[in-house]
Amino acid sequence: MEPTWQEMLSALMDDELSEEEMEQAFALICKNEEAMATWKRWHMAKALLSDMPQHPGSTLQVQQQLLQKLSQRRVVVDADVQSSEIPQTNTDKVE
Amino acid sequence: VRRKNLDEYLIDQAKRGQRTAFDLLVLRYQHKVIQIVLRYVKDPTEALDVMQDTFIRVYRGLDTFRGDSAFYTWLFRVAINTAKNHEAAKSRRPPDIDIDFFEAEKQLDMNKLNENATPEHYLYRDELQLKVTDTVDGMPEDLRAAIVLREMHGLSYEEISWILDCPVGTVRSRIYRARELLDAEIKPFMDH
Repeated sequence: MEPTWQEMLSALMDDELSEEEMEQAFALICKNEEAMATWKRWHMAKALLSDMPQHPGSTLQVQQQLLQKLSQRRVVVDADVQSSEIPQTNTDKVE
Repeated sequence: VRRKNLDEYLIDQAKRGQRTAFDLLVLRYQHKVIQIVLRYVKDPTEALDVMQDTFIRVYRGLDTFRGDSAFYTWLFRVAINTAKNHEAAKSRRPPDIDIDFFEAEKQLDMNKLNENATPEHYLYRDELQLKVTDTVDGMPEDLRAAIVLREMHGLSYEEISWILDCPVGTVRSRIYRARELLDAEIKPFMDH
């Protein structure tokens, strides 16, 4: 299914489009006043979200999810280091 | 070949005379610029003028910007210099009126309250902030996680897809839908 112009705009805002898609999205904004107004409002929302307290109840669960994933990655990294058979001394021991 | 990032693309377009490209850059960075300016210029109305001057200077100097550093670092540097110049010029002028201690204190509180101001933000900040918080709280879990990881933690779609165990396309769609929900709350404030 083709993404809507709003979905393209959202990805453009996050700098997640290829150069070709970026050109398409920009051309769309140039001829669509509603797209420009939407860009403005979404940036307002972005600014307000970044002003939100860092640990409100709603985001705590997301934070925990993030931390859990990061700790999983750490386990994988640690396992890789141990299996690489690099001789460890007291000075270069991986914590 | 490295892909141009969004700022680089918009600057190229602006240099070619596409005014809309510069407008997009202004809307993209005005909230950050006002935060910076307010560190130096305490009066919110003056801060808005300084912000405007900053963008005018940047627009006039676009041709001199070679892209050796990121656009935003240049923009923020211009903002700081413009704000400092503004304050220096003001200190050379005789004060219009004497502000007594209580007035000064009141003014200080107001500035603190209205940090991050832009015209709309400035007028409705508290109410909008509440709306945004409530809307995020009320979102379905999948949308809330995507938008929080993107906007509050600044993660890329790829990083979010890894954390949430879903394809990048799904992340893109969830973030877009979360923005639509936020927009429905913000739109009435911005339209009048």
